[in-house]
Amino acid sequence: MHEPTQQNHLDKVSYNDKVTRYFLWATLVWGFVGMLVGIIIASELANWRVNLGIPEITFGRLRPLHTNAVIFGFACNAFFTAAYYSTQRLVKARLYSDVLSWIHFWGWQAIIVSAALTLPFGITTAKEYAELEWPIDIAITLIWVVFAVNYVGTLLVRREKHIYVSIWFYLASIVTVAALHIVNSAEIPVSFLKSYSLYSGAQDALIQWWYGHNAVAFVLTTPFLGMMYYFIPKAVGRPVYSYRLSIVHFWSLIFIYIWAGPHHLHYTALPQWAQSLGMVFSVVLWMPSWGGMINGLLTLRGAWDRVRQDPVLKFLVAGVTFYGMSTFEGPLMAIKSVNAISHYTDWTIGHVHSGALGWVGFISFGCLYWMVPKLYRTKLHSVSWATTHFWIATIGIVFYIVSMWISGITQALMLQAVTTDGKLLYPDFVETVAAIEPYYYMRLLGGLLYFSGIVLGIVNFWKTMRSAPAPQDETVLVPARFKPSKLTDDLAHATESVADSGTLIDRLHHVLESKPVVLTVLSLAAIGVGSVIEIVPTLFIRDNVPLIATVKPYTPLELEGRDLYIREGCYNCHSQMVRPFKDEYLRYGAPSRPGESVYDHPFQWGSKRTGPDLARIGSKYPDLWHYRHMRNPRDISSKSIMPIFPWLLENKLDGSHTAAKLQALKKVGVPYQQEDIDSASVHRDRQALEIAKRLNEQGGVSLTVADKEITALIAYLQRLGTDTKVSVP
Amino acid sequence: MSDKLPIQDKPYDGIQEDNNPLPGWWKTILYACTVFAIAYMVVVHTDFLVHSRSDMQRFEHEIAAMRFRQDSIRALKPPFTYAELTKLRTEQGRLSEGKGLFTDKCVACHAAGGAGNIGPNLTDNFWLHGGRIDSVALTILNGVSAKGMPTWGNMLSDEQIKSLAIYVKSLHGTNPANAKPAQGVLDTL
Ligand code: HEC
Ligand code: HEC
Repeated sequence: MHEPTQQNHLDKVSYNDKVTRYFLWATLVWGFVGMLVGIIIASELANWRVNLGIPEITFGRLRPLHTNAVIFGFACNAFFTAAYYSTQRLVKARLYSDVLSWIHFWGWQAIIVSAALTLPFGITTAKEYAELEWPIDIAITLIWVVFAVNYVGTLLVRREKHIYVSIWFYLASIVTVAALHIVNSAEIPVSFLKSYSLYSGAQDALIQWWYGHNAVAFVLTTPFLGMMYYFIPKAVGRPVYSYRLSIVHFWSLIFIYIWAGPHHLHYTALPQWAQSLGMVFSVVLWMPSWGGMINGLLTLRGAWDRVRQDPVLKFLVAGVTFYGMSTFEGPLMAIKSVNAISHYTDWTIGHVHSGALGWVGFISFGCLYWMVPKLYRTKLHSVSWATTHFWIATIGIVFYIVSMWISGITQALMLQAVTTDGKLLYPDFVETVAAIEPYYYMRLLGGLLYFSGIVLGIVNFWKTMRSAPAPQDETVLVPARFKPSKLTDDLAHATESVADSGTLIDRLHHVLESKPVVLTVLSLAAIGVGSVIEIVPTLFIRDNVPLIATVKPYTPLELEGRDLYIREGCYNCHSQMVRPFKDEYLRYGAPSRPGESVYDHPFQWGSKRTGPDLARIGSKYPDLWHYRHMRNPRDISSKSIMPIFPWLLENKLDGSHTAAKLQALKKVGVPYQQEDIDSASVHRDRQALEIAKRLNEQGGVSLTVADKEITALIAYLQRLGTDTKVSVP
Repeated sequence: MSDKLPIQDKPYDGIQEDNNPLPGWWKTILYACTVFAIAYMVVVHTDFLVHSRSDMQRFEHEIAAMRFRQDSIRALKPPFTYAELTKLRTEQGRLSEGKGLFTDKCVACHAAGGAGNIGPNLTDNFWLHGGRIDSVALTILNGVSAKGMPTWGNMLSDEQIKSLAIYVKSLHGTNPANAKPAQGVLDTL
């Protein structure tokens, strides 16, 4: 099985460390930007005045920029840095192609820049963590393919026959992210920067959360497990705890993770069988996740004292511990009765940040503190600064999570409180908002602490770099190319019982580790099973989404209003999905049914209720109410934290694409007739005039409001839920 | 005790691996979760072991039970009568409670002092739904959903609604500035 020939022949190889250093600085730049935006939106929730009335920086538009910058800017660049650094050293080969490496680098940064240039202007698809519009989606696909070719190419020219566990995780991440992105971003363009999701309603929701949940899995978890497997043993100089555990938890993790998405849609109009699958697979996922934690932590067995001195190990060990915590909290929140409380509240936000700040952030910084001195061939500027960074960041995380636990649970309990004679104890949603506002300040403090740690880290790296000699690529002597062997021969060999060489599974898997392409294909198969079983029936079996005869497509004006709702990011604060609970029934009306959103491309069910549900807001208030509420919500609801949207009252509605929008939706199955499309603008203006007249009658608003954006938004809001309106009991 | 590894000629970039067996507690919990998963699917989605209700059926039962309870409470004690309300008009604290609630919940549409804005003027002699105090209380209780007057009975207690009606009636004849023109029919009861 091994090749004794040419044992002594050595080649000289230099690693491409330059591109790694570039990725490293990109990680820091986007980390800084993304978290700064996080601070801004946190303060906007604490105090609605913070946005200064500037449309581009209101909560609804900035929140997607925050998530995109930290996920795709910070976390992905950290992954690229660590993967390029560790893989070259693990397989003793230079990155496959310098050209591809640079295309990967600049292409990816251009994508994040384009996110920053579109999202604040309301150019968004409204699918969480996939908000970027279709031209950028195509760019992401292309650059990801460049990355994949460069990465797999590197493995194909490797000088080590077997690939180490870090690389399994990297490979599984690369293929799965590609599949998730392509399926979820299927959309039909209307114009250069506007598209509609191919899917609608319950189907769109399922695919979105299959994507969203597995973005957490394959962007924010598996790459970082791969990083953990390289950097912890390197930093502590001890053997990894268990090879077999790494095999078992790798395969079980990727196989099970992919099923768990529907836990984001508990009690919604998603078919209940899919919700149940999402729940039970999340529970089973607990131990496969902890397998990674055990392997990480027990690698330190007998060397715990090292954690006291070394900030690298502090970050890595605390990161793994936060991983253990959030992968316990996650399955807990996936249990439906717990989810009934946690969903739509700040608890979810806290959960995500214990993963993002604790796990992703700490692993990234642990790796960076390890790599920077290596990549610059010098000592870290200040170890005590690094230790300080660690402690303020840790305190910051504690503030963040604890405040979100309290606020989430408080608000949920207040919203669910119903008296014995069937009345809401807190009928006014805004009372519950006022109750949790102090915790929004506490969260802001936590964020500020964490952010100051990052700044300290960046200065530390900067000073380290400035004091370093001119950077150069590391050059090493590597063994000659090994002679590839046939898979069947290797397998036959592995099945022979050999004393002292692990179990059959160990030996078979070891063979697989010499065939990276086969391993990649098998990972794709592992994630394929759950994906197909959940998605295919939801898309193709009619019974899962029964139609409701009275539900009709939006009128042209309502559709324009809906696009404004998307542009302003209202879905970041409002759900449109009433769950079958007594309190929600009393507050919002009858539970939402799948047939109600069949014409919603994309779905607008939302995931967070910073404000009340809007699924049945239609005809609850007069038009004038909305007019004044959008101008300044405090005029109507004095304790509101909703931003002001006065520009909607002044901006003229851009109706240049109304007909094209209907046309595009018709292509994806919305039953518009040709005459609807032909008369779209006329119909739109007629409906706008009716609303303007009503506003004029109700409150003396000038009739010039007819061509303003607000009429479209009012038309949309007044339509919501009215197709199935049953008289309020 | 760590098992041996499949033969591997050299460590990966200096990284060694042990091959400790899977921890027993880890395997036990994994199996237990798997058993739970299967049991849950069987119990909730088949009638094999028990007959289980869907989320929607559970919800419908809950609402039916709630309605039944409400109806029985109402049947025993109608929320208010004309005589009772008239008597309560002089009760200590009623007016101030009503005023507080009105400022909180009603001024957005009826303006301060009930001058009227989105909703009608409440200070004049003209009423859409009757001006006698029990009619006013009933309008507040049931709302006029179609016209944008919320159903306060879903949100406020009967006592609060009584106080509101008392406060609204106290506004009669106050002639506030910028009052909305009269709507409805003359009703001076
Ligand atoms: C920062 C979060 C936030 C954003 C963004 C936001 N809202 Fe709100 N919204 C709230 C809160 C909080 C309330 C409850 C208090 C109130 O009525 O203002 C609310 C209330 C509402 C209500 C009244 C609901 C009811 O049943 O009384 C409507 C309608 C509404 N928002 C529409 C919108 C629209 C349309 C947008 C986008 C243009 C939007 N909101 C953006 C937080 C938000
Ligand atoms: C969202 C706006 C809104 C709010 C808030 C509101 N109302 Fe109204 N109210 C209306 C409208 C609109 C009407 C007229 C209904 C109609 O045309 O039939 C009305 C009618 C009434 C009437 C009947 C008037 C008549 O002429 O018969 C009373 C009494 C009344 N409201 C009391 C209240 C009280 C008390 C509150 C606070 C607890 C309140 N309203 C809050 C919109 C509102």
